[in-house]
Amino acid sequence: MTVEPVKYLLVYVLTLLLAVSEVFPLSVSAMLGALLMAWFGLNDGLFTYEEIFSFIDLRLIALLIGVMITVETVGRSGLFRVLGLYAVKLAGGSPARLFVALSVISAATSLFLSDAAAVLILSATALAISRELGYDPTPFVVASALMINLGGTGTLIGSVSNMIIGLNAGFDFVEFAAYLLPCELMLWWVTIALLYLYYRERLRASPRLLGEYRVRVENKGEVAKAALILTVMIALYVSSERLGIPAEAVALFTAVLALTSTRYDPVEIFERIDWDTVFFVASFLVLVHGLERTGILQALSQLIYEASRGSLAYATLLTLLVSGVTSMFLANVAVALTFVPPLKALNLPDKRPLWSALVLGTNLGGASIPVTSVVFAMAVGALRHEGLRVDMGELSKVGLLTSLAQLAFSALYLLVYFKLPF
Amino acid sequence: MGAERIVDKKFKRFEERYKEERGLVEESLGRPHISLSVEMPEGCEGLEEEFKSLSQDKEFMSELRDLVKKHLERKGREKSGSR
Repeated sequence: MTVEPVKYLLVYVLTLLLAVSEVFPLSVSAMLGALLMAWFGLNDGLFTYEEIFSFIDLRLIALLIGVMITVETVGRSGLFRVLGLYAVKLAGGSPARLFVALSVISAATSLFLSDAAAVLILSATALAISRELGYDPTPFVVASALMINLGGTGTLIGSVSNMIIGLNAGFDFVEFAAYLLPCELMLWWVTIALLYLYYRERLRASPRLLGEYRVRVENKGEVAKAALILTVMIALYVSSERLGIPAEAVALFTAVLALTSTRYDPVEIFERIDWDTVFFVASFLVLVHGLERTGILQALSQLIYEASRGSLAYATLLTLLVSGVTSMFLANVAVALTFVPPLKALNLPDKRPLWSALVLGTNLGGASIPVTSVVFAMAVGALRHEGLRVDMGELSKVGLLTSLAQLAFSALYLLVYFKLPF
Repeated sequence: MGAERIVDKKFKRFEERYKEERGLVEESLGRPHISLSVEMPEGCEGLEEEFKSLSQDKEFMSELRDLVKKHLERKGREKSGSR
């Protein structure tokens, strides 16, 4: 069956434009795109009605919802707020040490919490502490947001795009971490060093004593339970391959464990799930699979192959660059979903470097500009909410420079780690 | 739409949760914290923008802190007087 692919491509582009322009929320833009795709596809006989539902990967949706429920429950306990405040206390009053401590705890928190939840906790902490000490809060809040975006790049459940790529690549939790966690940990220090260099003048205040503040833990029982749930979750993910338990089953088990072992109202937890992302992923899957049926994504795959002249090294660098740059302007979940079919179809013997490049590109490009990145926008919004003046141009410059430096470092890492010959 | 308005629009979705989290951080630091909801007073029509940006107005926040302090001090005196 041959169809005219232009209108399908237009539907895809229209969906992205609607999403970027924020005329509708991400989910509604994708639902509209999926509806148009279904309409045209059914009329052209591109796929059947039943096939549309098979496009939605229920394993992926289960993994997403399971992780979101666990993260929301654990986040409610205050565990990460308490850890953040203790880290700040340990850093003492020195602005430089405080900067490093907040940056590290931000990335570490993001390993376990959603980026949105992490940025709320860490922005509030950074603003409260820097104001207490009379320091300029902007470097602390910006560094925290950029580190939160970086945190979780190296784990299967660290971000939505990771879950999409990891499941499609067939990586289990340990394999995913083996390829990407070393890079993430190195990037922590590269990023902190770069941001410190950039903000060094604004961090040159005289150290002040933090005073006699004591971190008060209201719900010690809930904090302990949250720590236990996280420990069980990590232990299960690490041993899931050996036990033969798929990642989505671990996610759902951990979600049920979290809901049954804590005293939070499940309805309130469900209300705080990021349904916008869940509906966006489900709808965008219909869009991408429809596009795949037209042969457009296979053509993209061929284009990548030809542009890289069949070299795995070039294909890896191309994937990293294109996914990184497009993620600066588009939702990185959309970029990940779009890249999956062409990479699957690519005729190369070892695709591990390509999948790893896609993970790094979609994660690192995701927080470059406050206008397009939710994490960065939330941090800047918090600064504005506290009555602080922000220079959007300067913040975009910091974000872009950081992303480009991270992408350059990642390129080197991929070439060395996978020993890619040109 | 300007960059600042786009950022504010994105932040708006999380504003309540941010305020809640900010309050919890202050509580954890041993500083009790309250969030109030204040309706726009009658007779101030046409000043909606100014009203909505009051929480970012340093002068207003300083006056509000003074008001809270005075009020609490008065409450404290009444409390000790009634003992």
